[in-house]
Amino acid sequence: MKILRQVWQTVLHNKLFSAIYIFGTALAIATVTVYAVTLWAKVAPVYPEYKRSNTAYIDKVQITSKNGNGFYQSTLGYDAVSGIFSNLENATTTSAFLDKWENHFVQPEIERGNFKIKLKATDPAFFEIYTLKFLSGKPFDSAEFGSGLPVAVITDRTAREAFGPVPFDELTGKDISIDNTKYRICGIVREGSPSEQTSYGQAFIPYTSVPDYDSPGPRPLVGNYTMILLTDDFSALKAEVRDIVNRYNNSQDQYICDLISCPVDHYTARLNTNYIDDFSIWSFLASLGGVLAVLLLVPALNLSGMISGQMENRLAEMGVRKSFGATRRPLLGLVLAENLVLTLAGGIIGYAFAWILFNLGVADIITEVEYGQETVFTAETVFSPIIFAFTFAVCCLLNVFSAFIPAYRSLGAPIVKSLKN
Amino acid sequence: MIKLSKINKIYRTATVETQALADLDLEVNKGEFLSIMGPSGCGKSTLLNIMGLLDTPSSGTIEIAGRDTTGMRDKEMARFRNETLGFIFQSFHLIPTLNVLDNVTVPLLYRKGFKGSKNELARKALERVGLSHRMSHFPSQLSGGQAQRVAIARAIVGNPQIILADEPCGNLDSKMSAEIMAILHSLNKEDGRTIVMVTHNEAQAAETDRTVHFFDGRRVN
Repeated sequence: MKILRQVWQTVLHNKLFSAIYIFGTALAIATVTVYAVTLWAKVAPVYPEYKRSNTAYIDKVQITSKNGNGFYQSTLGYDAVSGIFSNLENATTTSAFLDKWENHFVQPEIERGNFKIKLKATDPAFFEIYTLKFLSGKPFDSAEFGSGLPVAVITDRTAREAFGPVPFDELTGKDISIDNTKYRICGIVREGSPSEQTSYGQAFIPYTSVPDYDSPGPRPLVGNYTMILLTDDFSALKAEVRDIVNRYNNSQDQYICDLISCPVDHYTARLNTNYIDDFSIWSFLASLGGVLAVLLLVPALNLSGMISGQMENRLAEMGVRKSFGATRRPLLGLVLAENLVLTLAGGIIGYAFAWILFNLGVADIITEVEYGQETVFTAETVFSPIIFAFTFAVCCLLNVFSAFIPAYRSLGAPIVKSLKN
Repeated sequence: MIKLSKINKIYRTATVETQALADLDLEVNKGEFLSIMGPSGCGKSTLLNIMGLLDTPSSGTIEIAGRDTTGMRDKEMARFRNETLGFIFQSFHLIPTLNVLDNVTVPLLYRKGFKGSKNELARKALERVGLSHRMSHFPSQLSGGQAQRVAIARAIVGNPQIILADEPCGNLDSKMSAEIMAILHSLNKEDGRTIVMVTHNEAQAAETDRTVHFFDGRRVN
């Protein structure tokens, strides 16, 4: 309490210094928090992607002509999804979704114009991999999927926009018009975040209900599908897939198939979007540390200069304290503690500032959100304990970076010189 | 109580060497109120700083309260200052961001193994100097005399045997100076504390037990 009181008096005593210090810290923390949250959203187990540590993807394939007529790179074709990769022994669950990069619109029942949605054409296994919370109804089942029935799971937001404030239970079984085709609503789920690219959708339909879903691509194995797998043994899965690809390549003489490092685990897919083979989480963390150091270095140097000036003003105070028996260590602790309080105040403001930046859509610039969707960073992501702990740690680092050296140097001044200040 | 032997203090720069104190011998007895006088720049404050272990001599030995302070490490010196010495400065040197009570508790913050109530001791010290009604005020809200009384309370709160006062009335008018001198005399007579005071004021010096005169870094009486 005493230290808080003293800090408050210091703030009142040096209003300009304190305001600039807190504001400078807030900006630094906001930048770091935006960076951390966007990174965290990519890797953390957040709704509905709770199984990220077991998730793998096959979403790139390159087919090269053996006769030298170039190559074709794309996502997977239906023949790959339903054929050579359909029964992977080392995958506990296998799913796929179809994405033709088309725009989709809902024709709402209430009086308003058509509105655009992110439509995900997938299969029942998708709901096993991504644990979407059903507010009403259930996912479409294998029979509906196998028959290609026009059924849909829609999100709560889509339901509200299409039907207005109707209870969700009353919507199950009703039809919704998507791209002028009627789909029977079989379930309503809580919407996820567009930043979670593979799981995000505002309506989910069986891909078997999409016209020409099984039409062949321009080359074998290429098309518009992405495979999502759950596995307990990623290495074994990777070896199995490579073996299948080798057998495929040996079985025919027109093309060579290359999965470009696929299957990739979730972390590689999100942190190393080029799927470079020698990607290492440690080198990634090292580069992350480098980015953070750069983000923190400039404000730390500025704050350090300010604290240096502030310590000059407090030389006499430090001289008095030393006269009465203080050594360098408790005084250093005092200065660091005082600055930590200011830094934390800046941290809280910076955190709030980061939240505002997210809501203004600034984070869109550094995230890869498809279809220009509005980025929604859920409270679960932004206010996660990890992000709190991270922000706190950054505050402490910033405090130590900026305050330690000027304080330590200043406290080394002889007492008599300090008192004469 | 304080014994200085062959104290020299030389300030050196690249081109100039200044002898602030030369072969100084001085003894201060227990319970004595000693005043040090001399013109500006004669080395009075340097002597007081050396006596208070705030500065080190270029040569010579200092014995305080029976302890030879030569070769003491910084930590030891800090502890010794905290337990044995109290300082009163001409410009008060109160910490502007602390209220009166907190200013007075400062020496207790650095007292090793202190168990009692710091605020209680600080209150008593403030009562002693007649300022118990100003405990929650800040230094900027005090007059010069009040600020110096707070500084005296701070100097005595840790119950040191020796008080070193560097022109304690230098910034005060005659009425306030008289009040401060009265407090110092009471600390000397009633508590038996040893006081060494630097002053320019002959009348104040005359009130003390003994006066030592300095000129150009040397004792002249």
